[in-house]
Amino acid sequence: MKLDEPNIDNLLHAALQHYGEVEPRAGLEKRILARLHAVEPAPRRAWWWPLVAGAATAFVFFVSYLRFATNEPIFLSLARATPSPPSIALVRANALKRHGSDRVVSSSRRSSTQEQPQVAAVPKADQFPSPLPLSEQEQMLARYVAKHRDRAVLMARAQTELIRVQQEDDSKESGPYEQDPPHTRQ
Amino acid sequence: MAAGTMLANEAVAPSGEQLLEAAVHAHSRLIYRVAYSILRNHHDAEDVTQETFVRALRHVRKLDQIEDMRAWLARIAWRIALDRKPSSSPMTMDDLEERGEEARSLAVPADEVVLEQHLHGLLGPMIASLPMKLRAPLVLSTLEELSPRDIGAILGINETAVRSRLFRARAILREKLAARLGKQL
Repeated sequence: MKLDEPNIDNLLHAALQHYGEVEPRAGLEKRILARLHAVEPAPRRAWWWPLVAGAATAFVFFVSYLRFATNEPIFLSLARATPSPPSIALVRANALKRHGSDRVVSSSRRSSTQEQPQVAAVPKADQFPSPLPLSEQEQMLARYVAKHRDRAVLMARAQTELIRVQQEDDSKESGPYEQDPPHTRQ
Repeated sequence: MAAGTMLANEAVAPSGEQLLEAAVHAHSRLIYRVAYSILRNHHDAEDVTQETFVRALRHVRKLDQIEDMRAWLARIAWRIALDRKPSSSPMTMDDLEERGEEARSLAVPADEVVLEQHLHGLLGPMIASLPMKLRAPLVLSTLEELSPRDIGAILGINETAVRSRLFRARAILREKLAARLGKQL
């Protein structure tokens, strides 16, 4: 056989044709369709899950920011963020402050309240129930003390002295009976 | 009127499942041959063919938007087959028996059968020795259903590049074949 260039081209062409000639085994389509029916179609991807994931992530970042940026428990920050009606203790404290009662507070205590104003402003109503509001007489007394402080101090000292004297008299009268009861005396 | 036309179109338009089933009937043979051209093994080629249609099933709702279903499926099959291709694919006993039957059934003179078998035995290693850049278009060009444009769509290159690579691959094969046949004949 003479192997010139056209012959080689023909041989190569025939060989390449034969190289690609292949037939699948019978029933390929049926097997493919059977497998497709056996495979469950992919569930439709929910379009809203990225939104939910983003919102959840933003909420986590917000809570983390409140927790670490303010460096205090999260419930305090949330309590401050949400407006609440003024409690009774807060009303009472404001009333005392209006009438100058803050002068009585010592300097050390005043400085401590100035350092932590936010803690004092937040009442812990669930842990420390607030006392009853001032009665009308107490309010009148507070106004009187604020207006006539010196006279009130004198009256308070006199009243204290009177009470002390009365207590001493009472103790003198009841003293012998406590030491030697009459029914035991012989 | 418009609503009625829309309803009629919806009734006529085939669903994704119907499109896929039609694609199985129309293109499964080509997909098998694309897979076989790489793997050279019947079992692997059938596995790849089935896997190709299973992957197409994942996009069943978008099948009506695909312009060239044949090229799209062939491209999927090509990629799956490339992923599965072992470094060296040994010839199985099934393949050997099949080739023997094919040779015996050919109604041609015995010397031509011998030469053709000899060529076929030479061509496989020669094609395998080509670089992938040249081998891929050459192997796909052996499938008569695929035009250079289709091959370009499968490989992601343009038609001119396909023709150029085919020319270079054939030239290399021609040289090697001439050298081998010149030695042996």
